[in-house]
Amino acid sequence: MFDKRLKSHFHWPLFWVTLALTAIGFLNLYSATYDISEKGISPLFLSQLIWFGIGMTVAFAILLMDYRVFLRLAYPLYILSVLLLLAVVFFGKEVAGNRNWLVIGPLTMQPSEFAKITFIIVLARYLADHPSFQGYSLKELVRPLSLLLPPLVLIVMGKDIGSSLFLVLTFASLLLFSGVKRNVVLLSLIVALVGGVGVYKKLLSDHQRARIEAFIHPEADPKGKGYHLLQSKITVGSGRFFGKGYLRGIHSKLLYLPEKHTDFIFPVLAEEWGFFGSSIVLALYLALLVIGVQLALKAKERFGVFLALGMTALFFWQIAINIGGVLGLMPLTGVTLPLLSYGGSSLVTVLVGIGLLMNISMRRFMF
Amino acid sequence: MPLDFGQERTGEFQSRLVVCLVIIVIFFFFVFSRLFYLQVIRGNYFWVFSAEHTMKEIRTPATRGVIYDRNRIPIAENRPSFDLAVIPQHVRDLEKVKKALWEAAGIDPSAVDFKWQAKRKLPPFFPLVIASDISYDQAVRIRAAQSVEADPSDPVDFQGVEIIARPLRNYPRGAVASATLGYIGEISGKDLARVQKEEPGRYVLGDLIGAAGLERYWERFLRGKDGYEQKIVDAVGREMMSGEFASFLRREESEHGNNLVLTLDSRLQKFAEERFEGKTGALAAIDPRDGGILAIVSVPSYDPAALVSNVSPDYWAKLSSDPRNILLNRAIQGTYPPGSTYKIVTAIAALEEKVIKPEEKLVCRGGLQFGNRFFKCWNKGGHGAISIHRAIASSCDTFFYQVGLRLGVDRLAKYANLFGFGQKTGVDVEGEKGGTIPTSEWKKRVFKQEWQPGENLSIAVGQGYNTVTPLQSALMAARVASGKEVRPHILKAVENEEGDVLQEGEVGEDRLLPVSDETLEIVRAGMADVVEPGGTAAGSRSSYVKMAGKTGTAQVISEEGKARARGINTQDHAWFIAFAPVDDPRIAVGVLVEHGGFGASAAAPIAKDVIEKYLELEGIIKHVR
Repeated sequence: MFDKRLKSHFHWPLFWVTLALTAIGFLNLYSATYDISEKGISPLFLSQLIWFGIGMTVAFAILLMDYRVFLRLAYPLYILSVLLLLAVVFFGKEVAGNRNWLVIGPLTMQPSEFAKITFIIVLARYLADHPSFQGYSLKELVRPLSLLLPPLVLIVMGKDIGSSLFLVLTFASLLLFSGVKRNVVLLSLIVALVGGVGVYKKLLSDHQRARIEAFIHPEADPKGKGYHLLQSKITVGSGRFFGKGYLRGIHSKLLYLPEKHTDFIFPVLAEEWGFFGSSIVLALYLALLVIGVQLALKAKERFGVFLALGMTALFFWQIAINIGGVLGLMPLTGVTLPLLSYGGSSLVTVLVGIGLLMNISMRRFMF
Repeated sequence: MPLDFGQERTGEFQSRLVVCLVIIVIFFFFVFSRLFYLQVIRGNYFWVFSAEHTMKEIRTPATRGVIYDRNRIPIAENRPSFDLAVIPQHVRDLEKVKKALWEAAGIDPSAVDFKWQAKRKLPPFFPLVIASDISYDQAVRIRAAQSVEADPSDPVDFQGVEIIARPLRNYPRGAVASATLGYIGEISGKDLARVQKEEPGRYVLGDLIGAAGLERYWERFLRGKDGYEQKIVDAVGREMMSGEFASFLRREESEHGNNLVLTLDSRLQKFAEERFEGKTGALAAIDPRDGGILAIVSVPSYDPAALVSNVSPDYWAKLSSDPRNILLNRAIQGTYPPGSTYKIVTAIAALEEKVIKPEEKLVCRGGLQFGNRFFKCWNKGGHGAISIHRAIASSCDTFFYQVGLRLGVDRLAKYANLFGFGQKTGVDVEGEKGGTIPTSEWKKRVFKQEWQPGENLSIAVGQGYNTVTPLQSALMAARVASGKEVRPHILKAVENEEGDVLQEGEVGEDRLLPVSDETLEIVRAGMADVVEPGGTAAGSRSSYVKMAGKTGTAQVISEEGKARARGINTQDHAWFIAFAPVDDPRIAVGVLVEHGGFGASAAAPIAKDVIEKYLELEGIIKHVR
């Protein structure tokens, strides 16, 4: 199926890191969804296994073709994802206040996850096609911005603030990386500041605002707004050096933590495996990101560089915002942690991203 | 577009990618340091808070506001009580706990089993109440046994057992005005959903809430605010004392509920309730000067103390199945035909609308033929030719039949409304009913029929569609007595714990009724003669005070119906309304005795005694027997 040369460039470290994180993820998810009174395997866990199968299949399919196929498919895929987001706005299903789910037969999926990938591909292609050696000026940014806005607006309409945040952050990361004029940086800082205040006042729901307030003054209201952060810190801290042991994370199990299988999956791990275990997971994440940057470094054409870096940026921001949030380094945002959190669409997205990285690695010498 | 296999210049990115790597590494450095800080440096500190040593929030329930009567005698106050609970998460061996509770305090093991079955619905750290309102003695014995160092080999185990203290309602003078005062009960799911919307977090499941009457109407003021206190406890439930986390723990004092001061006189209230012993009925007594309710009786009623906690199912069954409808507050929710007391309204309407002159005499020959029906006067012999004054005193039906015909239904309804009938009085008690005062338009709307002239006769003497509450009747008496648009109210003031007045009772505006003094004087004089020789209630004349009244007998069922009815009480309801003293009215009452028969014999003596008692309490008359 693959020729020798392709096989020789299969990135084994990336493979093992992914496998290790996935295995730890399942082990930890089993514990997080383990109900002390119910026993048995939670349906959430089984569903995640099915999604893992789907994700691996898609990732493998991606390996079969040259990643540069996506150069041609960039715009069609982008348009497809925007259409799906549009469908969500009209036919979407609401889950926990977020209207960003699409039901297709027995499957529910989040097109916003799909849109993250297609947006990175289309932006990578655009940046590859339009190099700017002095850095992009304001005028040159109009078109990339016009690529960002449709999915962004539609995702915001679905109230999926987390995904829209990643879209903006990945966009900013890639542009900063490819170089922009100084006045653009200045202007976007101002826009971000004004826009940030606007978003805070208008777009965020009360509980999202409360989370930001809780971050700024966590001890002001330990029963109310600061409750989740406080409980999260207690869960993490109480793991101490070696943790309480697998399935013995009583604090997270006793329902002190909400959504412990998604947003607060890391504290579950930290409580049971302690500083020792969570350090290993952090090291694996660090390895994943370093490999991503390394692959960008080695890619021999612009599209590959931007694609690899875009995926790495997406992973970085997800890891940073999730872990930073539960450890009290930044406001809690309610985003998932790659490969550890429960969530089918998110898992598939991450596996597809890793598939793309692997693809770039395997085909970097085909010239 | 063909695939481009040409080498592109990507070298420019090298240095920027290095910057990316640096950013990533710096971020991970922060995360590692933070993790090290939380788990290694402060690890023991947080460990103390996690499940083996739990930070618990002990709710300190607010003390409910006290309800005082006008003389600041407490009617409803609070006493300490103790609930026995277990925390499922901390129970190691249920059998040992059952044995421990049985030996220490005689708690029935099967009751523990019964409650234990409900635990699955609750989080394991949530206290499961096994027995509420246990005795002080039981609480002390459990606490004492708990303080002994536990040994795993002991056959008993107190781990997970808790005593929760909370204040409960107490009624120092027994049941006083219980139908109006209401009672406290555990909040229902429906109520919880409602209050959660209005005041999120103020109530939790199992909280007590005013379930009826004033307790419900003034809930917002009475409740107060629960406080909380955070404690670190070990698995046995013992508090851990350590300075390390003392700064972390928070407490908030509970806030005492606001007190209510009522216009009620509990001494008069007690007296009136005793006077109703064995009867079914209601009484309302109002101060005609400001509308303050002095007494409000509805019998039979319940004992609110029996509804505070551990309500026995038998008591509930008894309450809810009693055919006399014990939970009804008859004084404001019972609607009855007013009978002849309504002639007061007819008389005022007639004089004001000038359909009859004060000295004009109409002839009574024991009834009136109208159409093909003969409308009887209660006095078969007839009253002869009488004026309106005598017609009131002797309650001549024939006189008022004729006046009713001249007035018509709509003009009569206007005056009935003016004196408080046909609409809610707006009294500050939960669940008031407004009764019915018919108009021609009303009949068209409800029955799709035209008003018949013959009906004017019935309604003029208070039969037919008219229904009124005892409170409305007392209000009518008060308005006749004062000539003012007094509004009935029971709240004198809402005060905080320190006694600062937060809100005054709604006395309403001191407005005169749009009725001439001449008319009111004629009616008052007629009412005064009701209790004089020749009046319908001459037997209830007071030898201590000059009072004015009016008897009424409300038909429960028509004369023909009585012949057919079997097994149900068809005796008429007895009414009496009165005020006194006539020249300086201080109290107005409305009395209804269900199936009491004649107003003069069943209701008037109660009204007279209550009036005399009140005036004696107020020092206006001396030494009643």
